[in-house]
Amino acid sequence: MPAKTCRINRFARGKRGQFVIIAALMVVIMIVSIAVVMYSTVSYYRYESWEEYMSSVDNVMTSTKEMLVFILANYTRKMYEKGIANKGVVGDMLIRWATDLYKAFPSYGLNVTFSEVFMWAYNRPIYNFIKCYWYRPEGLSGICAGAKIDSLKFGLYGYNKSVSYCLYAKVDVSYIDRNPDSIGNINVTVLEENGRPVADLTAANFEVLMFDPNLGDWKAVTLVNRDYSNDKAVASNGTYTLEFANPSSIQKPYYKWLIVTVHDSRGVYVSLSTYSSIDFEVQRATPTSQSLRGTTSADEIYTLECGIGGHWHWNGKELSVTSQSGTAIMPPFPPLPIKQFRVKVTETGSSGPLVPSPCQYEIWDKLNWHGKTIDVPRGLADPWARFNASSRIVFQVKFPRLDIQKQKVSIHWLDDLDAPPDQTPGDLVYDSNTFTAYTNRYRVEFIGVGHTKSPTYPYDYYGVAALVMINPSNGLCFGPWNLHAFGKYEGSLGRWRPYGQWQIKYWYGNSNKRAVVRLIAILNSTQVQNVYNPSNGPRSDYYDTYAVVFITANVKYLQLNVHIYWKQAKTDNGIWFASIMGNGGPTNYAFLNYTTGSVAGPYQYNYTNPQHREYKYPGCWAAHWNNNFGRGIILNSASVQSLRSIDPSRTRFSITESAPGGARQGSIELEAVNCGGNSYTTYAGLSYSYTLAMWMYDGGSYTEVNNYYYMFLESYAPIIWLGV
Amino acid sequence: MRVIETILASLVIMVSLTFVNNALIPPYSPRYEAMELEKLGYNVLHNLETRGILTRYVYDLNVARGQSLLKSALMVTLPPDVYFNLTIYRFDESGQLYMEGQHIVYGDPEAFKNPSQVSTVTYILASSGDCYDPRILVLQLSRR
Repeated sequence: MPAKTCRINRFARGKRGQFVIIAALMVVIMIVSIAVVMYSTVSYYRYESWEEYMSSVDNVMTSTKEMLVFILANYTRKMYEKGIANKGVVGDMLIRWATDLYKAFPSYGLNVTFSEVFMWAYNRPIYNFIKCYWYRPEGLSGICAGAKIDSLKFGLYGYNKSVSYCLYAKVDVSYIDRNPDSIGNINVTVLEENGRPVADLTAANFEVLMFDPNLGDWKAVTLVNRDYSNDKAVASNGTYTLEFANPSSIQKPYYKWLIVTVHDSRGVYVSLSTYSSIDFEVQRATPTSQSLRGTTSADEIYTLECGIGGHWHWNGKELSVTSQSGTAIMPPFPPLPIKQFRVKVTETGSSGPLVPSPCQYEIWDKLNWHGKTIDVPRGLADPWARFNASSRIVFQVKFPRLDIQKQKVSIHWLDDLDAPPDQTPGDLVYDSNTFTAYTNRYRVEFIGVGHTKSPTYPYDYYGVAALVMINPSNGLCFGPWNLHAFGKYEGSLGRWRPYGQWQIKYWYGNSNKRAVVRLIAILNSTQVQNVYNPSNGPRSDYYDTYAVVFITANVKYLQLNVHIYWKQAKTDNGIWFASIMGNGGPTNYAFLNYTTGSVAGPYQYNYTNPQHREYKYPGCWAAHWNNNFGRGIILNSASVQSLRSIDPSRTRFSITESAPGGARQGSIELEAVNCGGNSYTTYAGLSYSYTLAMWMYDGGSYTEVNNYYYMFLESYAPIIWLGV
Repeated sequence: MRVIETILASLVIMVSLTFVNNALIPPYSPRYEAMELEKLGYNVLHNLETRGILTRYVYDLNVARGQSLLKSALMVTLPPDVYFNLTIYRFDESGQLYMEGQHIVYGDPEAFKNPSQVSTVTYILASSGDCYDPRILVLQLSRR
């Protein structure tokens, strides 16, 4: 081939190659362009749907957030105003909200479900939808929920989002350490979610309560009415300086005990307290010499009641409150739901470690009963009710060794508003089917209307109210403890006894929460019954009885407080304050002589020649026992005087050795008027009260009763010591 | 020559497809307009709620006064060339929806007769005060 032709062909081939490349590029560009156009054509509607979907989700979430804040605001406001709010409604309300969302967006086919989530805010967990941590110097109210949104219209499922809202507040208590004479302001920091300061509050959003000793109650402190819109501290970190209208209105030491409540513009509340516990010491006053008490005081356990305003009670006596300086003031109980309270005590002396002690909450009334004011429990308190003048917290303090003089007590409160009433496990159980209360020391069967006969005791009581005492270890019955009796029936003693039904106070309302320290049984009766012949009664023309029994956990005693009021004059033989049967079990008995102060006895029951035997000058205790089991009946000083108040010359300690029909009995009895002498005529308006304790022990002698009876006497009642 | 024809044919096809695509979905179709109005309506309601105005007017115990104030607020907030028709619903005791007060209308009522020209926003208010009492706001918008 010539050279020229060869160059032309090479040029033509090269030119064609360029077109091929261009064509290929064009085809590629075309394919890519068509792909892009096709994608945008296909996905346009999807994009549009996504926007609409996101818009609807935004709308749902925005309104749901409002809903959650609404729920939180309502919940916290109710907690603040009433101390109680039903948390169960939160879940119900969210379900209703989900239903209403479905109805509100009918074309979207919305299915919104809410679930509990666990989140943290200000180092506190929020769960169960709502948590409130109040009544400490730092407080938080928070709500959180997880929302899952499905939309049938968009074919999109499983959109999940968790949200939380909260209000946090903190009161600066550093002024307490500075110990000024009075304070004119306090600083409160208020934050919301993610540490954002809440800067739009005014003085109207705050409430400060102080304890007024003159009122004996909490009162609001007037704040200077101002807004904080130009306050730099508020804008930067949410710290408000609340100024008191009267700069010296809160004096020492009352500024230590303030309750501060704040609510934000959303209506969410938080309550704070400048203190979180009430600390003091309990000092025993019983003798500690071994000659009087033996070598141990392991069972010297006091069941104390504390009420508002620093009022303390033991065995019906109000205790002395004192301090080293003599001027110390008992911190007031904050007005928070009573279930929040807990108690810690030392067990090895006041310098020992504080350990949790069971506590329960009771409500007491000052009752006008036949013209006399009597202090009686109404029952267990509503755990959600605020601590008030009727409330008492009941707990126990032990002095297990004779060398321990003081024990420290700290009554504190939990800041979690979901806290249940204290349910520390204990040995106190009540079985309503058998009308029986159990502790590890004794069993008590409540006999009365509705349960007239114990399966362990062979006599029907026909509605007479009594306590059948049973040995917990072997179920052996010692017979009933009769609360009061009058007269004889065909030679049988104690004819007319209180008739009625026991009211048992063991459960908190209708809940499954129970008493952990003591069971209360109340008999409020206007009738009496002839226990030997029911056709005579019941009758309403003798006397009224108001009796309260405390069955206490972890101790060897149970306590009884009785008030008697005679409605008519009646003549018969004998008035008994107590007749405690033995069912033939006890072998010996003894009592403390009122005049000599020494022990009379021990005596032996003479079952071979059974009689009713009477002894003069009964004192603070009487006991009967065998080698396995013993019982003592202990009177405080007021009860001894009450026993002697009708006719001191006829006061007797007595025993009866046989039951009707001749069976062995072996009782111990306290007679205000002996049945062995002439008849006695009462009169309308005759009234008396007495407080008894029964000491259940292992028998063998009377020594244990003689060692421990001091603790029930008024003059040996413990003393409450404040720190300064 | 065939290559050039191929290139030209490809160009024709691409232009045709582009034209068809544009003809089918014009950028300023009513759908875009509807979406814009929906966004506008949602934002306006959300803005009013954030400022506390919406809740205050919707839950005003004097329904007529609250709705009158709400109409004024919407008129001020929405562009003047946007007509609106706001209906407020609430739930009765059995959970059924019923209308609260009157329709709150601004503009020519005829503008809301053609559904393709109207954007609808549904907005729900949780509650105000103590009681659970949500309100559903249906806001129809149309451009003049």
